[in-house]
Amino acid sequence: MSKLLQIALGVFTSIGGFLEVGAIATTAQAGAAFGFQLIWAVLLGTICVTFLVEMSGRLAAVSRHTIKDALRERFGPRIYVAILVSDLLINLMVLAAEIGGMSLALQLVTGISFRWWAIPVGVLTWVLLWKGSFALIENGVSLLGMVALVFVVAAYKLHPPMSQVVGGFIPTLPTERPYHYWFTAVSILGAAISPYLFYFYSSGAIEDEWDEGHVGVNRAVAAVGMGFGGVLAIAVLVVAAMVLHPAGIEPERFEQAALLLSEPLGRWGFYLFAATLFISCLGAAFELALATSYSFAQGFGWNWGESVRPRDASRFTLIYTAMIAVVSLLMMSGIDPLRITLFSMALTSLTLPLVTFPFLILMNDGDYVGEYGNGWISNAAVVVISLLASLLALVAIPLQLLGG
Amino acid sequence: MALKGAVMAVLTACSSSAKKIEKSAHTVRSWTATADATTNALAAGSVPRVYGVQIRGAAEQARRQAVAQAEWESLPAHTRRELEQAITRLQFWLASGDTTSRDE
Repeated sequence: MSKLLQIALGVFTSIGGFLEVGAIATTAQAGAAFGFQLIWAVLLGTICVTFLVEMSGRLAAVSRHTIKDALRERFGPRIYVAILVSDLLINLMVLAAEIGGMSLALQLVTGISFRWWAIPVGVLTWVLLWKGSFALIENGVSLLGMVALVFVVAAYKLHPPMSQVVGGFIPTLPTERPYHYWFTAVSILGAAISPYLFYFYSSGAIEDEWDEGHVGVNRAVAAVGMGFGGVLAIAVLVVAAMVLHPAGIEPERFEQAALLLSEPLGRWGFYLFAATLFISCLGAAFELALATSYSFAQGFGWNWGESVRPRDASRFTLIYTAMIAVVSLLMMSGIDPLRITLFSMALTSLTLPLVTFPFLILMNDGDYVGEYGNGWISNAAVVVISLLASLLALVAIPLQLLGG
Repeated sequence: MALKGAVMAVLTACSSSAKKIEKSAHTVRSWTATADATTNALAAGSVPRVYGVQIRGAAEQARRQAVAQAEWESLPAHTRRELEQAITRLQFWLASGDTTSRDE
């Protein structure tokens, strides 16, 4: 029973790390601009992140090392610091987007600008992290995150043409606006394969005291959790393709995306959209803040743990406190949350190989994973998808920037 | 050789300018559709008035930004007019007070 409850970690990871402001923004844009044509990008991202999450849980269960811990030990401090700095920059951008997402959800409902909500939202996130235990946060977000299923209900109610939905799973070349198409595909991949997600997951597995007996359940957790996230992300895309695409609406601001659920579900749909945006961003903010704190603490040998009292892990708590403070101030300055979201997702894609390749070396190193090393399928899937995402990002980001 | 370079430069500039106009038209049409969809949603009672106010503000801002760009004058007259009409319709709906009872 307790192992079945571990599924909560996977669901939490998927709600916080998979369906968050980035996934909602990128899939809504994809559906609005290209109909069902980019479902394949969500599928590809889901496959890759499922492998990576499964690997990170397996590494933690077998070696009792988090990914960051093992990276520092295996590659030494210089490479570790390089990875840490790149992570920190991207995580700060993504955390800013999540704080922006929560603030926007409140703006939608109250009409008060998101800039005024940035600080209260930052304080709320910090207080919950400070006061809450890992289990409370994990189970709370998993439970509340079920509200995201509203996208599946809406997709069902809209009766999408199944032949076109199925056709979207097969990659096709764009018929118009190729730069925008590839940039959106890259952003979807970046939103799905967020490195903080599997860093967080491996630390969560250590916090939940996994051992080799969890290798099987880890596989189920990764598949169920990420599959859940993938289904939700595809549902957002389908709803956008059914509601925004025919109307000719392409969200340039998050406010436009709020129309997604009001057509199929009426006034409740509007409020449920805001609730889903808020809860999924809150989950992601927890994961980002914790994942970065874990990275610093594990790399520098500090005491760490969300369930440890803050006074006993003061440097660990200082990292997330400082991060939340910085990004809340940044969002209060009025930076466009959608823009920062899309570019942080594309940058994540660009830097993927820097993160995934050292991780793959660990997963094939018998000193860490013994007989539980990677098979060729997981190695090939991660290498191919990471390289593809990075190469597409390398081409699409400059073209999109040049094209405005 | 120099002539070929000049022709290429002009062609590139034309192509870039055409793309900018197309992008601007796309943005304007998207905001027209957003304002119309919001007016319809307000009429159906499926979004609160406070949301309509936000969309009106955002659509007006998008219109101001579009007008400030050189491409605005190159857009088809009906595309420009439709955005203005859509914002006016939304504005009218919000001002009419009909939504008050629906919001309560």
